[in-house]
Amino acid sequence: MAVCVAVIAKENYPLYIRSVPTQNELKFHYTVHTSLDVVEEKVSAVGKALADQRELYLGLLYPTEDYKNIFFKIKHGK
Amino acid sequence: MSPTQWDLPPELCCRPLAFVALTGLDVVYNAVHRAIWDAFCANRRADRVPISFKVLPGDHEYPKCRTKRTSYEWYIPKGILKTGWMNKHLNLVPALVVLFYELDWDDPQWKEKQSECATKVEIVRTSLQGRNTKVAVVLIQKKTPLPPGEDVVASERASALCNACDLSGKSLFVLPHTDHLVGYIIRLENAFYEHAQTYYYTEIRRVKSHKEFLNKTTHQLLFVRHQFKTGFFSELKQDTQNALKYYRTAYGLVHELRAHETNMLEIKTMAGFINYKICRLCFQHNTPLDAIAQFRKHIDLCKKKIGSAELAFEHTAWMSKQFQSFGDLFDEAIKVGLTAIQTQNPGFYYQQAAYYAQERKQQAGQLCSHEPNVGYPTPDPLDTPGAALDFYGQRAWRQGHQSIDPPDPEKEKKGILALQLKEKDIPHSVRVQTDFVILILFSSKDPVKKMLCPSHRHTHMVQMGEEYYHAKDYTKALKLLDYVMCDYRMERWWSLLTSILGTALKCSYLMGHVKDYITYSMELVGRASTLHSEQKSRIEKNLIKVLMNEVPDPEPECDPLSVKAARALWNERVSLAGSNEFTIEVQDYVPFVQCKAKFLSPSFHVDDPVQLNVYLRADCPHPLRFSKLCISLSNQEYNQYCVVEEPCNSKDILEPSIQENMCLVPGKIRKYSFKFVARFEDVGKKIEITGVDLMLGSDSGRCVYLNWRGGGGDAASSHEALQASRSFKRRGPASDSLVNWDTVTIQASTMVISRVPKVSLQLRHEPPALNNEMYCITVTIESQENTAAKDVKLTAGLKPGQDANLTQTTHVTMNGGEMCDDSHPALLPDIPIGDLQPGQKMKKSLFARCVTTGSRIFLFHVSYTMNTSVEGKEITCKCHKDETVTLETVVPFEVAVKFVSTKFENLDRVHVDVPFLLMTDILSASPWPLHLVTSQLQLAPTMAAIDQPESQVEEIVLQTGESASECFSLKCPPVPTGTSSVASGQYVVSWKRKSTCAETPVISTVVTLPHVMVETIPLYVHADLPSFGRVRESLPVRYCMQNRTGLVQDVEMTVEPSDAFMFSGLKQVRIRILPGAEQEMLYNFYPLMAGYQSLPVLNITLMRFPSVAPALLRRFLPSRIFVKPQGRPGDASIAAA
Repeated sequence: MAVCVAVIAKENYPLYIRSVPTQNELKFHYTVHTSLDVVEEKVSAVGKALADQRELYLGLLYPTEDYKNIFFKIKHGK
Repeated sequence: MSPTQWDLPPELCCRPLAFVALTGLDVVYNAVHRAIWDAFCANRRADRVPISFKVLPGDHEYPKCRTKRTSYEWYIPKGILKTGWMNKHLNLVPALVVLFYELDWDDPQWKEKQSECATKVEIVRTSLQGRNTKVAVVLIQKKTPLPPGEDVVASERASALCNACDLSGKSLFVLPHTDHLVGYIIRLENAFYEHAQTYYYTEIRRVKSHKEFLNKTTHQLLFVRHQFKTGFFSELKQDTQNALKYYRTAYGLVHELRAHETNMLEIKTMAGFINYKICRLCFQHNTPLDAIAQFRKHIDLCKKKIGSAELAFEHTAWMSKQFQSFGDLFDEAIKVGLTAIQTQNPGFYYQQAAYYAQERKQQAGQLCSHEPNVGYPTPDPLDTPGAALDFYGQRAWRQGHQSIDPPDPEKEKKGILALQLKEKDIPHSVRVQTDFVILILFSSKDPVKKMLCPSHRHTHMVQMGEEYYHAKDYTKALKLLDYVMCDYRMERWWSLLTSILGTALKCSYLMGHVKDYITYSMELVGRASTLHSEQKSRIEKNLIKVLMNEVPDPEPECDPLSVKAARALWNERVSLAGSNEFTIEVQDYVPFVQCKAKFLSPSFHVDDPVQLNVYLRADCPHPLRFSKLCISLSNQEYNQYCVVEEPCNSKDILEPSIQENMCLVPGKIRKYSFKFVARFEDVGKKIEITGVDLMLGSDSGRCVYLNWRGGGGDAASSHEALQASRSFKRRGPASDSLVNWDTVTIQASTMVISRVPKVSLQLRHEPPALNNEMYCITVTIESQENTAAKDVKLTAGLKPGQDANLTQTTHVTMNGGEMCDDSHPALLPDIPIGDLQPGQKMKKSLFARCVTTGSRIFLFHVSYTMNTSVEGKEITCKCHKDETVTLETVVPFEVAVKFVSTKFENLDRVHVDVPFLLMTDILSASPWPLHLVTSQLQLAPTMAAIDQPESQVEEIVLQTGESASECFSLKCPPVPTGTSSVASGQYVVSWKRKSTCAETPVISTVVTLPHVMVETIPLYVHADLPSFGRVRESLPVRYCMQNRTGLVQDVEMTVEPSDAFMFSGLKQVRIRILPGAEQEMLYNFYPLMAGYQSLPVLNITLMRFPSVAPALLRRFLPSRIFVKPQGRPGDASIAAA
């Protein structure tokens, strides 16, 4: 079950972030924030080749203790 | 319960080494034995075999071997692994016992010694009864042994000794105590290592052999135990591949165990141990991904196995430890060369460890908050009869109990209570300290250690900050939170920022830090905060209290004791006078008041007032009053004009309008306009807003200045402006009818520029300029000012900043009657003109002389001062107006010169004393008519005029493209021998533009005439004859020949016959001419035909100078003559001729 959805700007700040109402919504925010470095690493590692193929799925980022973080890269404009 | 209860036992974490016991060595008193022992254990390098040696006395009691079980039928195991087992096989039960005995082969008391040795061996054997431990004997000998086979006595006695001691030949060694001790020792220990490996192999076999007796129902625990043991023995045997295999099986088996609340801890403990072994071996085998996969599996399998809910904190403590140990293993692997990546690094595991540790504390808080009257149960249920538990992971009050229900519920309750009370007493600051060490480790400069990626590190720091907060170390908490705050603010993670600001606010409240309290509050009530409005409202009310020098209400969820202490601190602050003024630099925060300042224009004329607006907007939930707004400008003299201040001590008589002016209503934009007259000295300078200060509170209470550097803006505003410019959709129509906040841009600086001049500058001239002429540019200055322009000054001439050569080749003057020379400057600065009344015109002429051709820019700059009033203030303005003109300079005319003979034939050389002509040709290149005043030929001494040369082009006007020619008859006086060319002199043309007036000076252009080749000839010949002849009438011709040498010359002269003439005279003659003398020859020619006729050719041959060709001489003579036809009869005039 998806518990948290976040849309992140390319400057790494959240455009939209919603999670299932639990006591600790903030924890999800921290988790998303923590994942950004990994996203950056993934994006830079695959680099141009990926951009050309328009492959937007970044895959399973890394498993945390209880959740799995999956990211898509979305192109906006040019 | 010690804090280290969850630590893995050291015997689990170490690398197992084969254990070999050495006996019979007296390392204290015997130097030889000491040396042998040192050779075994000192400085063991990595290439030595992995053995752990221990010196034991010969009669050492080894752990007793329990009697072997023959049947498992009625056996019910009490636990998985005994706590002493690993240590027993690492340090207590040797794989091999080596007996050292001093005995030489030729010892005189051989027999006695042999039996003594056999006795010693027997003692060891007895002590090891029932174990497979090997025994070996080493004979320490003084003599170097002979090569094998040569010493017959030795081999005999060796086999005898073996028999006596019941040893195989492979277990008897000789250690000669000589120079090469270490070499012998290394050979010895290699042999020991083989024995040890055999021992561990048999142990593995022995453990495996039990398997057939086990059944799955009652002996589940033994399956795990035996697999673990075989794994451990394999490690001791250094067979890590098989060890890993056994451990993996053991790991699978441990999860097959029937788990219930009473044995959960034991299962988890063992799973943790085995997992640790597997991960450790995977890293050792350089397969880190296997290790990570195993660890993930382990965590997935175990994280739900919480066990007793009342002891949930135990589970989180255990989880924390699991992550920490794995982090340690990972870190170790990195230290020996593994490369970490951002996604997989020890930091991540440490972070999880910290997270669980935090959770443990929370659970402890929930589960262990017993009433104070609940005492620790007696007798202590955690007390064990022995020093430690028998089995890993069991409860002290029911050791060995393996059934589902606890044997005694009352005991169980007491045990749990005891554990809870112990947990409560754990000093959490200890944990914070260790976490802090980790933090230091990961934020250190060492790149290897810098494995945590930034956001991980931040999260970690937040966790630690909160830890410190809970540990009541607020200073450290704030230090950490402040650090992370900046980054979250920059990254615009407002939810995270708000969360830590909340903690920081609590810290500052509890410490009574007024300034920090204000700083955090103003951000928490501002637009970056994600708090609900009621929370914001509460914080703002507190903030207002602080501003009024009152004690704020405590933050919610604070420890009541701390709140009490904080109250006292705040009361102290209130009574404390003096330190009640704070300045907060809000530029780097997102404060609850936004500020933007702008000059209305990027530049202001000095005669216009400088205008600037300051926009303020409050984002807090309640209206806010301020007491002062002041703007600081780069020139502080203007600051006095940019202040909004409440008139002091006059609160009662305040007009409502002003009061409203000093109040910021949430969401509403306030505009404050300021206006001042710039100072005359600031013309050409920048005025900058260096800061905006907003004073909150009052002088009497607390006073806080919010200070914006420059023209306002804060940590979030630049991004907001960018967003606003990108999107068309605003946040709805501007509520304020005046401005839309997003469209207000900051303009923090402006220029003061001079007043717009009201004068006109007209230039009149006739381009292009001619080279060297006095080129006249007339400038007309007309004032359109309303008042007198005073102190008018004109700067005219070559515009500065062009090619440096132009300055040298351009000269200007205001005096048209004189000729410019090098002493004249290129630019005439500040020529005083006096005053110009309104409407008055002034005309000035500038004369420029351009020595070289090309283009130049001329500048005309008029400056003046005048008085004017701005906003009722009299000011003196300086105005200036510039005009430039680009001027091309061209040559006025070209002069061509050529030398021709008297027959107008081009000469490439002239002859001494033979007349020739100099022709000059002046071709006008000027677009304007040129007036040639005169010309003059200035001959060099090597040239002489035949008659007085007079100018033939005087007062001639040349239009464009026209040319004027002159012709001068010259000759070249005799030259010294050897001279081949001579100078001719100069040709001076005096001219001016036709359009100039009479007093304009005449320009003399000097043209240097070319050098000419000169030659001396030995004989000069010329002819005298009339200008024309007439048919059938006599034509007298005289040829004169002049000898120009100092020698007598013989000359042969012939006249060739011609069809056109008959003639009389000597047709062929040879004459002698004396030096310098002249010989005349007379002829009468009689023309026969009319028209141009060739004269009979005269050939002169010089006998002495055969090189002089007749043709050369012929050039001096006329070749043709015009012959008129015969006149009519009766024409007297013709008859007479």
